[in-house]
Amino acid sequence: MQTERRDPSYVKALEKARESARHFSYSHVRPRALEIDGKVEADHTYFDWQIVRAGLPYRLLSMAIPNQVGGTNDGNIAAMAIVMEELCASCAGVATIFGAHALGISPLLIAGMGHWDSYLAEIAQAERRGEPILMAFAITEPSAGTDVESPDLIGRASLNTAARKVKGGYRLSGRKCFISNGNLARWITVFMPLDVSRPQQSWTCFLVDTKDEGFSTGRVEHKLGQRACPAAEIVLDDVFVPKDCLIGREGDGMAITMLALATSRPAVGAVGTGIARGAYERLLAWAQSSRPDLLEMQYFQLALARMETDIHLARQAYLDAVMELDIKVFGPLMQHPLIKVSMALPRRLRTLARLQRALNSRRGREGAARLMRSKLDERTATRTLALSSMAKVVGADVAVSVTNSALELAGLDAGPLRAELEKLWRDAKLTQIYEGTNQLNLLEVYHGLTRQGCTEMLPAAGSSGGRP
Amino acid sequence: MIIEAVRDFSQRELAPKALELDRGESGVRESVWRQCVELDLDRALLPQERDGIGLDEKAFLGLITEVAAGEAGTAVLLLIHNVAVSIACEDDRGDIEGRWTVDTASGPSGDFVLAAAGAEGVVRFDGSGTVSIQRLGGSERSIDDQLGLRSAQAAAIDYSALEQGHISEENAGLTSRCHKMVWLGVAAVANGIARRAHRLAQDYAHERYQGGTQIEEHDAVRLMLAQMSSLANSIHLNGEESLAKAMALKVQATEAALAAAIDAVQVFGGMGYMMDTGVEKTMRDAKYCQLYPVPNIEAGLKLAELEVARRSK
Repeated sequence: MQTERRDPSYVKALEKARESARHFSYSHVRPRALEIDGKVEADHTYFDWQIVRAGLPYRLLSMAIPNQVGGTNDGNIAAMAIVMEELCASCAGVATIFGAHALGISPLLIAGMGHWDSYLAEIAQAERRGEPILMAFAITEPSAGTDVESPDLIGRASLNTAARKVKGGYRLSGRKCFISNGNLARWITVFMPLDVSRPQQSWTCFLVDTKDEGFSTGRVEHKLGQRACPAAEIVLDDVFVPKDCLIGREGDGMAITMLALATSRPAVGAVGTGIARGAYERLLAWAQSSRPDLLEMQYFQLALARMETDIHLARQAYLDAVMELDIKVFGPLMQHPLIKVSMALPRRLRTLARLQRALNSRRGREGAARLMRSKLDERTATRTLALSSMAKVVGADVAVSVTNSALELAGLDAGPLRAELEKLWRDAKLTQIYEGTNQLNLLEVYHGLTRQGCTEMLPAAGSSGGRP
Repeated sequence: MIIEAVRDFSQRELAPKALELDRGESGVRESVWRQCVELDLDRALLPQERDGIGLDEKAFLGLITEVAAGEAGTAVLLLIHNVAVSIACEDDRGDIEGRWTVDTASGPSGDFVLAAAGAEGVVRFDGSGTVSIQRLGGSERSIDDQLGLRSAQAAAIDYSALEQGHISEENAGLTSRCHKMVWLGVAAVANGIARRAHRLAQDYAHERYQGGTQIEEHDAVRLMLAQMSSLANSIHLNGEESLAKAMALKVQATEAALAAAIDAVQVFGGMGYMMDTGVEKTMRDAKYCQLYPVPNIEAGLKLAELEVARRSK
């Protein structure tokens, strides 16, 4: 049965996710947000594993992993976005650690079940053992940022990476930059062209083990905000990736990227909503305890009301996008009989070597893609990508405007509140830039909604994801 | 001539050191201040009989804009210092040696006084109309987590611990003049920030390629650059504005500076968010200009009050 927005079990799952995330956020993250930010400012290679470990009982590293393989997700992307809002109300940097991890997992979900019982199950099991394993998602290159997030631009991108086919797998070389969790991840989903003269058609996703020979990390960036989550350069020097670690098919990279961004962009809208909410909550609490006189002033009341309104609307935008994804895109996919039957099998049968080999074979991957295409209405998916982009833009702009206002209303003499609001203000700006700049996202809105365009998701064998 | 010399100093000396000044790297702030003193920029508003350059307000504001186009915190230091010593020297008993700051906030709180860290004197307007001129002598407590204008590092001042300074009797003219110069000066700093942000973004957009072409060729970027250009050139200061006009210009200029800086960071994309390029600094500095000496929203309310009072006469 398809999930509808008002389905009681769906709503209950969202409320449960929010409650759990809020508990972690208020109990563990908020009290330490400034401390962690300060430690990274002093040493921008610092990473706070303590806060990640504190998140383990809340299963935040498994929120993207299907519950059939030990995770906590039952095909509900909206829950992940809500978690992001809750965490960001305390610290967007800490939230991004978990968000970037989920983004790193997303290609493994999109491309079929071939890696669920291995890598994803291991992450979930390790989490239960108290051992955090992080993932990351690597597409950005030093000379190609916006370019690699758009099928319209990648053909003209100045790329720095290349993969080549070798016996038993592939060899990857080049550099990626600004990779969240890049210096800490155990596995990274990395995108590269197999043929640099045809980047769009040959853009491919690989699962790289960071312990393998030839992998190293370079510079860790000194960022303006969201400092708890590192942004690092990764260097691949002829790294061997076995053929089983090809994600999807050769040339599926752009389609996987677009589907991954469709799920992550509303989450960035949620990040912006959370940052804005965090600023609003702190300002209100300060006014109530230290400056009740301000609450009698009409200008202050109007400003607070404007913030509350904008936060509410930003939340509606991201919830609208993720619920569309849940109900119209991934929901139908998860209801396909083959997927339901497979997931109903006991794990000992699913992990039989023969079955795993079949899933990861060329035919298995083609089958997975065909299965997805049979259930994936591309016009709907394109429209949903546009809604995702809209949510991202709205959430980001609200974060910047609300934190701006909050600082103004508090002023320089606001004591400890000033440092908290300044941090949120610094965190907010990144939401207008990452996951595609707001300008690129608005072009997606134009393509998907204004022009009623259609982006090919998971093309037939031999072609590539893109716009006709 | 002096403006050209200052422009040269700002671009040749200050702009390349902007990040070091921002980070407070050892000795850089002191060395830059010494260079400013050598150029007599610390005596810009003093008359020649007090060994000053004797600039009029318009020229002084132009000087501040040029300095801010190199490094905004240094411009604020010079602004505040010059306003302070021009008032302190009205009192012949006053010793105006060293670097000075101004506290224009009303009331006893000295919790956040910009440019007070390392200052040797403060001219304080306590809101009752009197002006107090006091030596600091290390009684201030530096504030380290300042978001913007970091080279004009703020400090908290415990006034109760200071010796009673020289007091001027209630002098509405002096108060008004000081406030006006600070408002206009912050507007001038904001102008400089907007220009710097625009220049950084223009240069980057010319060098950076995406989609096979320089990003300055993309409409989305062109629109931002055009907006920045108009924001950077929209405010003109002549120093003779009324207090109300000065307030309005401060609000307008600082809003323009922040809008330009936010767009400049956006033009840089991911690089803009990293603390290497200097462009994110323009955002932080512009934001502080919105908040100093009072936040723009309060300035707007004060302005409305002045207007109502004027109409009632």
